[in-house]
Amino acid sequence: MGLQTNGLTLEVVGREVSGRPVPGKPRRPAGPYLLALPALLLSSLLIVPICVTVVAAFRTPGGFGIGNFAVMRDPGALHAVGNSLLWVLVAFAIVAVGFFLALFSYRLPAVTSLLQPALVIPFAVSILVSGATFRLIFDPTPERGTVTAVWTRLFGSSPVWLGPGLFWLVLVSAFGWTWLGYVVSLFRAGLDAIPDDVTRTITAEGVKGWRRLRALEIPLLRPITGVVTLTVVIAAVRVFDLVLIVVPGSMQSSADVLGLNWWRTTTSGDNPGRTAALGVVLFAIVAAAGVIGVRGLRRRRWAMPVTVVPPDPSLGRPKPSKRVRRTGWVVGFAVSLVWIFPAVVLVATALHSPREAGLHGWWSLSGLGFSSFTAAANVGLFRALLSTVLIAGAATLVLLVIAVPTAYLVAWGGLPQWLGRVVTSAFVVLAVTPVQMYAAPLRDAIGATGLAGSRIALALVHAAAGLPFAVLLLRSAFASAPPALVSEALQGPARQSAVLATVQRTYRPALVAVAVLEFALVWNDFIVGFLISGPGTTPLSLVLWGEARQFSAASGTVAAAAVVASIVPAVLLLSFWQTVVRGLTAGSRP
Amino acid sequence: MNDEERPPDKPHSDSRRGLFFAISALGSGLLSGLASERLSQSLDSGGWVRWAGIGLTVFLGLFAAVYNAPTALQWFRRWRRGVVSPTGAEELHTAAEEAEQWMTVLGSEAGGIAAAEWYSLNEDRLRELLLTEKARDDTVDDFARICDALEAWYVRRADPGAMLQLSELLSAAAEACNRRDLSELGAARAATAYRMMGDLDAASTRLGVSDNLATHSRTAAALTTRRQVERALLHLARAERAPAGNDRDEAVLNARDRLDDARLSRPGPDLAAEVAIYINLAVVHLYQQDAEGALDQLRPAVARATAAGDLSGQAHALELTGVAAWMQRSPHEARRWWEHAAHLYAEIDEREGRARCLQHLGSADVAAGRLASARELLEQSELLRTSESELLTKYLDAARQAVDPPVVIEEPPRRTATDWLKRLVKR
Repeated sequence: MGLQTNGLTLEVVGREVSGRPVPGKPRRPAGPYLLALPALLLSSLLIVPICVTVVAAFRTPGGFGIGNFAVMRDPGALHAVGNSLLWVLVAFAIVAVGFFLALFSYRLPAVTSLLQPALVIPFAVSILVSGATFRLIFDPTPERGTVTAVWTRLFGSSPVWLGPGLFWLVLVSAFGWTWLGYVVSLFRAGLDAIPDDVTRTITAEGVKGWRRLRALEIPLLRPITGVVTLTVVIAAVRVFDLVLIVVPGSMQSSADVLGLNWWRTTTSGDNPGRTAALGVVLFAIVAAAGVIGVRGLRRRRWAMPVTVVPPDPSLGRPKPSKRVRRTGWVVGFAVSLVWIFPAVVLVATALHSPREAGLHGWWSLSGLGFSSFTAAANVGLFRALLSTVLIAGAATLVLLVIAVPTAYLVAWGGLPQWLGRVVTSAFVVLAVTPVQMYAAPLRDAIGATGLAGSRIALALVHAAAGLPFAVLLLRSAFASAPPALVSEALQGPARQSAVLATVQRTYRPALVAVAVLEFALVWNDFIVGFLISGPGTTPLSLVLWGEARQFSAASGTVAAAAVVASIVPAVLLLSFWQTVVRGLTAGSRP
Repeated sequence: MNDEERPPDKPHSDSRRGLFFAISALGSGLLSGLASERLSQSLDSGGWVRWAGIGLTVFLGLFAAVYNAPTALQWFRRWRRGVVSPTGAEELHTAAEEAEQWMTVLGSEAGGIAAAEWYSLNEDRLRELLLTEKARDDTVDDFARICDALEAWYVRRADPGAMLQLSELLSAAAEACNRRDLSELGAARAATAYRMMGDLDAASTRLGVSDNLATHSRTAAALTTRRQVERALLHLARAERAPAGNDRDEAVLNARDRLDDARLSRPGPDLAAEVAIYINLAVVHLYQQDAEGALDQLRPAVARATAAGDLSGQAHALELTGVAAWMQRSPHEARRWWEHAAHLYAEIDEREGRARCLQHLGSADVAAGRLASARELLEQSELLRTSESELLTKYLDAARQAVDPPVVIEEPPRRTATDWLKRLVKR
């Protein structure tokens, strides 16, 4: 009772607001709304084409209607939808596997130190490269394909891995190889953020096994699970280039997914209304996934995993016993070996001459040298490299310059609650919009303005596509500022710079995460460049794709180009991975 | 939202719609007249426009007439009754005007003491009036104004019993006249009364009731602010009851959150609320043993209160400045602030506040061992107080040398995350 201070107990009372209520509205500054202007302009690069596509999808020769959606009755399209749904299941499976892998590495801490980099490299590598790598590994001839060779050695003969039905195995392992590292890293960050006292209480109560999982880990990780599932599901629905590069041309129709089906219908010169309808269906599936994911997230706030005050090391988790640590080392080493193996295959193949790589597997010792790299340079690899650096750099720069003020506005601009919610939902929908929704009108528009093949146009499109995700991520990082300080800044007494200074611990990682991810995504991009840009821009992935068309003949060149293309994102992500994960998890609050 | 809750908005929207129809009838008449004239001048064919315009005008006019008929009928009836209008309504109106005038000067530099005197003389009369006069649709606003004025007075006097009674009167009147905004206000006031009486659960329930009734009227923002401030005070009351430790810290942090919300929803011109929010934020800082932070809030509070001529708020802020000074181990300065605050409270005859300041001074004297002056101050404080204070009794006993002064457990200044961040910012 009372306030005890300095040897005295004092009676401290608060002050009520009494008397007649004052009519009026809270005073909100209008200036911050201007911050949204650049973002609106940039987003219109996506919004306008999306609207055009939607209108085109509903426009039939006899006025407006849903006649175009009859395209869905087409057996090919139906097959593609079924395959896309299968991919969603694959995504869920990857999330589950990743969760248990993360749990495992959490219980055996020593695993992490080795496993982490091994898991990050595949995420840094573009899906095109990962597809090419797995195609190398699963090559049907025992002289070249590792798996086929091993299988033949063990069982005498081997199935054709890239044959009907079995190519799914290759596709799924390539996809999983790429995404599992991301899933595990994020879950690990979430697990590490569980306060030690909670863990100890649960352990002291003797809760173990499944019950512990259900009582502790699953509910506490729900928000992260939301983010992870959302990202992977959307990536799965958008699968495009992977199928293009992995599945041999003759079987591509059975591996068809919605995005690919759309592309085939556009190139075959089908009625634009029907292709637009396909795009809208794809969009509807992805948007539904996105909206549901975000709604699920909103239910629970979640503890910020970024430890603001560094914890006392003596209070940390008890060090595991020596035996456990040794087991962890061994298991971690084994898993990372398996995980790094495709990268080894790729590098080894690249180090063979193109002729030798076409004839023998990566393990053969003849024909070692750098001639594959020379061959890759001859097909314009370095020009493409320069072009990609320019595009990725410009896109990242534009994105940061525009996303930061917008995120600031959404977090602290004092937007009315409903407007904030609408803006957030709009960004979520835009973030998950598949490229097919805006590719065709945008390509036409770029062509009409004479900018076809211009790097600036491509960079702008990339920036526009990256903007929603960046804003959402930065927004949550900004929003982690103490509300007291924010309200003071809005009302006057504190300066906005003080707010920025306070949140630098959270927004810096988010900023780094946005920059690094955008750079890597643009660098690795295939689909935007493939669908939108004309000739002349030649990003790396297009060169890679051009070479990969004659896969078996050019595997050495492809591998060399892939290695060169992967160095920059791999180094970038490896060096910033901790920060990126911190930025991503701080931003998992929608 | 069920049907029972709908009606309160209805008369308003009806009259507004009636007005809208009348205006559009006029507008369509004028516009169609103008258009048909222009057309007939230039094209010789404005006839149909004219007929359509006349039709529309008549149509809208009919609507306007139907909507405005009840009001017109009311006026007509009143006019026919002539001078024999109910005297009760007029009395209520006069009293409301008067009470409101005094309310604006209550606690202010200009006439604060006169207002206090007026209220102590007239409060019984006003209460009587509220009890005898039934609130009707046309008098409920005057009724509410008297309630507003009396509430301000009871809050100053710290008389929760009377406040509760008043809030019940207001709620009943609001119910009778289907005024949701007034019910909302009544419930919020009941919460304040319950909190002052120490019944925190009832207070919290009433706040919930008020929340549920919330409307979108012009005072919606002010009421939201008021509820948030009240919630913060509830948390502070909980913090006061809790022993120092986690519970207290959590309650204080909750209070802080509510105050931040209040700050964002405060309507622009509501200076009293602004001062109250600053003062309560300072209390939060004091509970966190953060004297610097408290002073950061108190400086603008004093400035705003002085600018608004609100002596009461100024005195309250100065009183807390004294507490912060005491926390910073400068007892002389603290004493000076408390004396100043006591003087200001005396100027507007706010006894509760003055008693508090005298109590601070007295207890400081007890701590310093000057028992004679301490006794004098504390006895004076006891005389002024209307409410019971355990703390005062304790110190009074100590001053009379009956027992030892209450033992205070020293708490080190706590390091909170915000503190840490602030220091980081300053660096």
